[in-house]
Amino acid sequence: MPDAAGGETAADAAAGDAVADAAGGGAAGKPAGIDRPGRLARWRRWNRAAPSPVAEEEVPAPNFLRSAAVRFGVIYAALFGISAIALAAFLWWSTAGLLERQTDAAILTDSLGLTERFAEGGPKALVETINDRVLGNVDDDALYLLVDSASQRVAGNLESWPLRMAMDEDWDELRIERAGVASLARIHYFELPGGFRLLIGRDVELRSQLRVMMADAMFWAAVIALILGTIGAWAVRGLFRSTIADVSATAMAVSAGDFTRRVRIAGHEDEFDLLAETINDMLDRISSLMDGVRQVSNAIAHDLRTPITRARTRLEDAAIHATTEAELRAAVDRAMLDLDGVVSVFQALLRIAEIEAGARRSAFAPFDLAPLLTDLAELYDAAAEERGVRFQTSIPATLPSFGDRDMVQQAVANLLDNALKFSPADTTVQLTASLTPGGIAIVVADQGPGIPPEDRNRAAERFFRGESARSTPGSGLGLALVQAVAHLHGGSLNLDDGAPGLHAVLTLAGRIKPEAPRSITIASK
Amino acid sequence: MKLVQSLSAILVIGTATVQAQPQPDPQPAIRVTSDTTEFCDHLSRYFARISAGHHTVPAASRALADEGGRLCAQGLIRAGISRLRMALYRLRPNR
Repeated sequence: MPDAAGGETAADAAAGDAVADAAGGGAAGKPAGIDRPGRLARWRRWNRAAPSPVAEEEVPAPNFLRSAAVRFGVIYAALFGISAIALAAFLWWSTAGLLERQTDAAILTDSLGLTERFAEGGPKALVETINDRVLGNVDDDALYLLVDSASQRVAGNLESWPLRMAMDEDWDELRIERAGVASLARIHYFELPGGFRLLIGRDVELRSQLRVMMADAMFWAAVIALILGTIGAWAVRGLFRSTIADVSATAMAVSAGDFTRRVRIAGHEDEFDLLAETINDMLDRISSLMDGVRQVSNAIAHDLRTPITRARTRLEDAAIHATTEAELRAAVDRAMLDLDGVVSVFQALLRIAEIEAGARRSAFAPFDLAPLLTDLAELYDAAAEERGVRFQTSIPATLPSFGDRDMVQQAVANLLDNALKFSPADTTVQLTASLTPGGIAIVVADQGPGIPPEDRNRAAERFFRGESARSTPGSGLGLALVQAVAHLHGGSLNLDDGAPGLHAVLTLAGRIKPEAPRSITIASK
Repeated sequence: MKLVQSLSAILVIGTATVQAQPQPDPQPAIRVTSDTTEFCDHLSRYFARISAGHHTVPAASRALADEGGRLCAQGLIRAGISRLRMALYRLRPNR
């Protein structure tokens, strides 16, 4: 029984610490294979604002890219850079690239006309056409040169044939001089019948200047994008780090044993808030479970100390004062009874633990609950009669269910035991069962003292005993076992005020269908 | 520190790439003969010969030819040639 007035003893504290170490992975219970000090030290480096409860230790400097925050930042910068490059490539293709394609198309069109003229009228017609085109070149960008087999200039507006051309390609760029000013030309080279060679080109100096200007603009745009991307990546990294800093600080505090710490909720109702709420819920649950474990440990220590001490006292007394073998045997028998009680408590605890672990689920099978309840009613009807208590039942003819028959029987028996134990004479205990939308409801109602409202939530805890139950025999494990059975069967245990008495409702989930055996069909040829 | 060095290297390489102009062949530049005073005179004479064959020469065309001749005389060869070409263009009947 919990010692509410006595406070926590040294033994309790030691037990609690042991539990905390086992559950929290404390220093004493450090899991093998996890470099916890190193991990915490890394966190401290990233999160210097959160002082660590763990002593400083010398660890090697972490790799910069091992930080998730840095990786996120780099990914952001990479995406930003890729977007900028894609945009620049499109702009280049749609401006400088377009001009280049237009120039090449104009040269090709020009060359088609000239070769046709050569084919129709020979060199003379070609010379006339070239002269006409040079005279009428309003755009002032056309370049022509026709030379004979001796590379002597025949027509055109270029002074001489280039000394070296990329003969493996038809296209080339050529430096020219226009009115004393250097310029750049895009040229196309043809060989004509009779050893004639024709060069057609366009002055692309303006286009070249435009290309340089665009390259400059794109370079500086890339520099700006790089700077902005770096700043953005740094900001993303900082945002990420600040967001998880509180989570890491809380996790470190909890791992060091401070279960009161919780993650701060920013109130943005975003994913991080959801994560923080989930972590806090998890910590609440862990804290609650650890409190329960600690409480049970304390209860075991207190409740078992009394019978063990009593047995020891009996044996000691018999050893000192017994004068006959009969007296000694009687003392040993009484001590054995006390120790049997201790063993039964441990058995009940192990049974509850077994149920809560779900190990009994393998014993689940379909069964009819109605005959089970009827048998129990017959058994407890006689006991009730002995105590002067009326026993009434209302059980349907059949209640198909699925679960562990023995466990359900034990749970209902515990409820009936409690009801009869606390029912005064000339009162009524009712056992009713019915099918409900939520499953099968088994109600055990008595007209005893009931459970005060402030104790009802704790009544199903292990070793809990209310004020009115202290004078009656029992270990305080009966309702805990009932609740464990209810949970095992997907149901619940509700304790309500029976006005007067207790109204205990054990709900078992509806019929649970076992997995159908898989059938394999083999097609025959 | 490595990151800063990498960024600096990227900037230097980028600057060098942009500053590098297209490098055509190292051969001497070839002179364009249609940007000379002689060609300007040739165009003026050609305009005069063509316009002599026309009953009426548009005033705008003649004005362009005159302006082109003056520009060539002043040393603005390419501008003068451009005016003369425009003058010839305006003389074309199917313009």
